[in-house]
Amino acid sequence: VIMLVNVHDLEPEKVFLSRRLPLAVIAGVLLGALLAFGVLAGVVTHTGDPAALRTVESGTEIGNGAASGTETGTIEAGNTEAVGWLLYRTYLVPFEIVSVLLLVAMIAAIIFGRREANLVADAQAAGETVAPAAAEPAHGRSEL
Amino acid sequence: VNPTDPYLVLSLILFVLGVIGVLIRRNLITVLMSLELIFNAVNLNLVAFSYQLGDLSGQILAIFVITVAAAEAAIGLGLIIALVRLKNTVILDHANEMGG
Repeated sequence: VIMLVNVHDLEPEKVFLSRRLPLAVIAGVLLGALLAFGVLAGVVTHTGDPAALRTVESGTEIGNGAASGTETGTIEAGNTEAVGWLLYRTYLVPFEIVSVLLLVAMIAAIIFGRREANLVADAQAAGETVAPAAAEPAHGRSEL
Repeated sequence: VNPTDPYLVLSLILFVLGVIGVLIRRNLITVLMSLELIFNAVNLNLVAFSYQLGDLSGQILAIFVITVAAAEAAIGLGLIIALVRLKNTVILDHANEMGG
């Protein structure tokens, strides 16, 4: 995208430290103090057993065929495999919804990228003189 | 001291840097990169607490956050391209009028 928008034609960022600087510094310090307090308060938090990450409960959620060899009801698996089981069994519906979200985002990005070009093409096809507002997109498109 | 505390401190630093970047930088691309910094801080927190508490749901949520961040980056960069074609700028203060 940085190559696409031809950065050298753009003016540099003049207002590097704008008038919002005091507000930003105050907000940053407050957030930092709050989060540091949270981290320090978390020192006394109960620590769970990290070994639980390597075991997957093999109840009715996970297929019986995968756990048929074990008697304790758990199968020993790596962390990645445990995440995979959880992602494709318990969280299957959110996974599908996220795939639809990605499709919608991709279509929206394509539409955002193409709409201005169509407007310039329509203006030129009508035989009119290109307005100054439309001259900039035409120039930008020729750079592509 | 928990073994996940250094990750929480790193996440804190990343989050504060991201918030400051979003607030004081006026370049749209820089603002988007700072937003990604905030997303990564949140992901680091999620995975660290998932490890500390022994629950895998945090890692699943981190995967979903990464996916939504990818969609957000695609939309944001598309908007930046549209803005550059329309007004030939990437500065936030130059896009201060509604209705194009």
